[in-house]
Amino acid sequence: MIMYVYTLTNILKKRQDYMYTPWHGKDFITEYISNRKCALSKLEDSYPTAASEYELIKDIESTLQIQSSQKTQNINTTAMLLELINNNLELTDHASALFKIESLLKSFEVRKKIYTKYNELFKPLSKEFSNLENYILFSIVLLKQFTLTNEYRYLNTILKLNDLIISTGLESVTKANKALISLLLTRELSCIQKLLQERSIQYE
Amino acid sequence: MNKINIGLLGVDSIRTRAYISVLTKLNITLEEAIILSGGKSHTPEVIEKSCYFNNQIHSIKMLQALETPINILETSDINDATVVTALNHSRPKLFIYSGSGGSIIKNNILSTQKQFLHIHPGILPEYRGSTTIYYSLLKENKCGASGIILDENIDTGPVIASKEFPPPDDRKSIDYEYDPYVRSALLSEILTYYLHNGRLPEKNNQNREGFNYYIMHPLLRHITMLSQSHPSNSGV
Repeated sequence: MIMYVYTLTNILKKRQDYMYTPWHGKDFITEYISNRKCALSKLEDSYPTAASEYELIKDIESTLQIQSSQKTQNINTTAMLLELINNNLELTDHASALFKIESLLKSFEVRKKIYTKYNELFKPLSKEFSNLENYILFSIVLLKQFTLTNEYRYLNTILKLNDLIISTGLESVTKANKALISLLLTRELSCIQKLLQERSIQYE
Repeated sequence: MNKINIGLLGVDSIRTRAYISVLTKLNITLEEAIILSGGKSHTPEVIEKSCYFNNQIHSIKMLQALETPINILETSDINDATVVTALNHSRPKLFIYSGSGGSIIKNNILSTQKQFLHIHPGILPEYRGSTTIYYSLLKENKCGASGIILDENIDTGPVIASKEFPPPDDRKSIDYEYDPYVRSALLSEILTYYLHNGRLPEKNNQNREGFNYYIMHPLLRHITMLSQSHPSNSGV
């Protein structure tokens, strides 16, 4: 019986609410780890060199046609996420960055989707939500936030975003995106393994 | 019997049974209970006997034993028009709220001019939102409960009481045992105060700033349940 069922069907097409979780004991931890390792094996050697996160994001940026949203209050999600990644969250305009992160987190947790455009109150302005890059970039933003704060609610949403990313199948993902997903899953696994170690939870 | 001018609005759930167990212990007869009986059952198929409260008997039978007048509605929707009508025809100004998990009371219910006492499983304003008993255990190795008067936002109403609890001995029993237990234990303290003073404890408005917790991912839930203690956590 498969216990880690959260990546079996495309979550972008069929929403996953994570309600009524059955108790599976330590076996569940083992299955989660093999789920992530299986996804990582599909992403292996996807990039010619061991590129840094910075280089990978620059590669993605160069392929995107990001429209400037400066003339209106509307938010272009990809542009906003890239800005959050490129800026040092600890320093520049911290309150504004935090507002954007918390608002998008709330919107994703409620709707289980990331839309391409929002108004200034983070109500979706477009019906388009299938841009996988936005899910990847938001997961990177939250990883940064989790590293800074150790707040488990960020790790919680990272797990859901990464489930969603894996659930799409990963076949039609670009090389740069594959490398970013690989980096994301490796870091997620490392955060979880650290947590398991702190809690003295042994698993096979 | 201690007859009090308070009502109960809810469904038959383990939490409601825990609340009524408190009423039984304190010998309290409520003025009225409105029970939503429509939709699927809110209790698990197999209920192991709890050491904390009576979880074996249906809420309606427990209320009948306390001679509480019961208005049974055929809906499962807490915001249904029949609930509004029932509330408008009811005498109590204050209702203990025990609706199904995840349902949010809307303005049509709040505008009935009744007050709804909700026991949230977390210390407020720190732990707003969903599955907060798990987050609090994961973060601080302790649990909490807060009694609030519901308002239009999630877990932002004025707090009338709150209490911390130690972690449960058996973390696999949180949903159907420890969560209802901590809520009912705080309800017991609030109702005892009410019996002695004829009113609820003083309300304290919350700082409305802050964030919500969202439903915990099954992996973090398993880690929380498998964690027995954490060196940095002192517990209660």
